[in-house]
Amino acid sequence: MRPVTNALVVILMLLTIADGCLFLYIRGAHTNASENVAFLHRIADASEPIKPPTGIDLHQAIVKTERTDLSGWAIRYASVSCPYCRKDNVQWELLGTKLKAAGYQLVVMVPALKDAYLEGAVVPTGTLQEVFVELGWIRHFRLSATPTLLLFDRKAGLIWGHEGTLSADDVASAVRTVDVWKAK
Amino acid sequence: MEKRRAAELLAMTMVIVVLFLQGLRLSRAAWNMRQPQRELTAQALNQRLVFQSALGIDVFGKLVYPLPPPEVDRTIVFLLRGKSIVSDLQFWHQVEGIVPTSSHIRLIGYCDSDDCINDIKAHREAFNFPVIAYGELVASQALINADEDGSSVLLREQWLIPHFLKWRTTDRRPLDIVREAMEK
Repeated sequence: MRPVTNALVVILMLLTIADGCLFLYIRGAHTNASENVAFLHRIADASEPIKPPTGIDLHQAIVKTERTDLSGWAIRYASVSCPYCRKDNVQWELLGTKLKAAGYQLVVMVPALKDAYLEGAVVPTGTLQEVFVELGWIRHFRLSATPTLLLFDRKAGLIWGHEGTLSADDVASAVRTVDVWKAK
Repeated sequence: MEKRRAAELLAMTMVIVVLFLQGLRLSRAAWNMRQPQRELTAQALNQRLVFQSALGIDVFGKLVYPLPPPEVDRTIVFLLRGKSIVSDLQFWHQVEGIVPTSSHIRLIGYCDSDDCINDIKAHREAFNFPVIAYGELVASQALINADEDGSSVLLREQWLIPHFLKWRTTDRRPLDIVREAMEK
């Protein structure tokens, strides 16, 4: 009986160590994931220069985001009918307010016209909404799930991206990245 | 005493099984967190976007409405690339020229860049189909995906999902596209 017990104890210890290592790896990878944005780029166009996104709002007016005084752009891909976006609103408002204070222009893009937010429902205040977007911008990225958040520096290079709802760690990671790029 | 030891062994075995299963789950998550895997997942997710309707703002700022006139039976939607705008336009101009009026086929183009928009504006008299410059994000990405595969999108009101018409291959002539569109 004794050798069997010993063998089981060894297996138990090894499995605990292996699971612990895997857990730490995933946690580390998740923390760094938003700073590695390659998966959001369409591979063929990754090297081409990207303009700030010009779009059309609900009143069919052009939404111009090209301003020289901006530190960058935050693009939130979200839909009025997406429950995860509603759940994400608290963290987004918190991050959005910090980004605005850092000189960022906030823009919400919707998957289709039926997903657009009514005027006044876009948060935080001052956020622009693009219902139709220039294909010259769209073709650079893969936006597959709502909510997705993209952060661009003033040269319109993608510096941070996150698919899914934001956690407090994600907000901290985004702010850290913006601070690093502002200092450059 | 024997019973107690057997119970202990059973408990340890169960913990080992649980840890093993947890390890499998974590391994799968760790695999998915790898960058190449994330890119493949992002690509696969994006490929699932479906083109449902051609709604947007054309290069002259006019709304292109997704619902076709009652006499229209099928709509062919295609992407015009700035890099090959001359040959792309020539191809679809020829398609427009051979589509029989009785076939009730409507053509709608999308422009992928400023080069394309400028060229369309310069040759507005040469063709009659609308060309969208600002599109919905899902529809535009679905069309870009189809175009990367060398295809245009064929829509019909009765269809839940669209068909694809390959056209960016050297052996495809405008007549082949029209014939295929009418036969589907």
